[in-house]
Amino acid sequence: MNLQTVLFAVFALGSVISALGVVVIRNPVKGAMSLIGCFFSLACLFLLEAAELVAILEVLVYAGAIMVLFTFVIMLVENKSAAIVRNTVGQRLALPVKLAGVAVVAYGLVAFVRKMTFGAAKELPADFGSVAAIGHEFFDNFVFHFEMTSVLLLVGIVGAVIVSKKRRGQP
Amino acid sequence: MITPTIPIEHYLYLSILLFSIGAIGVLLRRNAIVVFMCIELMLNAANLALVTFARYHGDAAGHIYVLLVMAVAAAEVAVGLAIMIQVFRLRRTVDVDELREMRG
Repeated sequence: MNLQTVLFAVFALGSVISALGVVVIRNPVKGAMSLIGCFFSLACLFLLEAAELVAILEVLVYAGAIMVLFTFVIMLVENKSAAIVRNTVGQRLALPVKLAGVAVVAYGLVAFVRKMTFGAAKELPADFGSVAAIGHEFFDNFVFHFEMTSVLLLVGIVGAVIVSKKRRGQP
Repeated sequence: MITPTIPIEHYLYLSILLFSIGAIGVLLRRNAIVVFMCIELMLNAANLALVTFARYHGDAAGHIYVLLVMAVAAAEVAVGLAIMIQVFRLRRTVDVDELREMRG
């Protein structure tokens, strides 16, 4: 067993456990911490797949920026009831239906992956996943997407400001 | 740079598992913020699959898609959490079962 296998096992297990933590833990702050752990494990998995820039951005953007936003909003919005417990009969009946739906989708995906035959992976270029390679790819083939991303983020910022602004006469 | 040696099926199964966990969270949790976090989890599972296929094909386009997904997630979280704060101001709750005005 080589080092990469061990690292993959460790981080795969870590990501699954912390992902389960997000779903199971009642306290949303602890859930957010668990999600940060999941993002770190995923960043390490991305590094194992030679995706340096993506791994760095995973930590910077997800574990950094997005989760800070989440913890801020959790702080502002203190919620009492967050348990999975269901009250009415209809809600209790819906639980197995939902689980079965997810199981069917997951089974379909697994069957799909099983049907695919993967040959040997292509030889990766020496600078695969580096900032320079991604930058070249972006500005050679994806310039339009890049520009549209800036529009999207601008719309997101303006939308967030307008939506969260207090209107007159509002509590 | 590391030369990846793990078979790509392992990564795909892990991605499916994380996606399913996120989907279960979205369906079962009642706190809208936790539902949001589970959506982030599902997006990240998809990112893992994209990075895996990028590595398999030796094509950096997969990484570009991941970066675009990150941008979409950031914009989505900013607007979504703003809506959440506004809902909380009006209703003093973000429980998705109590917010049922729009249910048919």
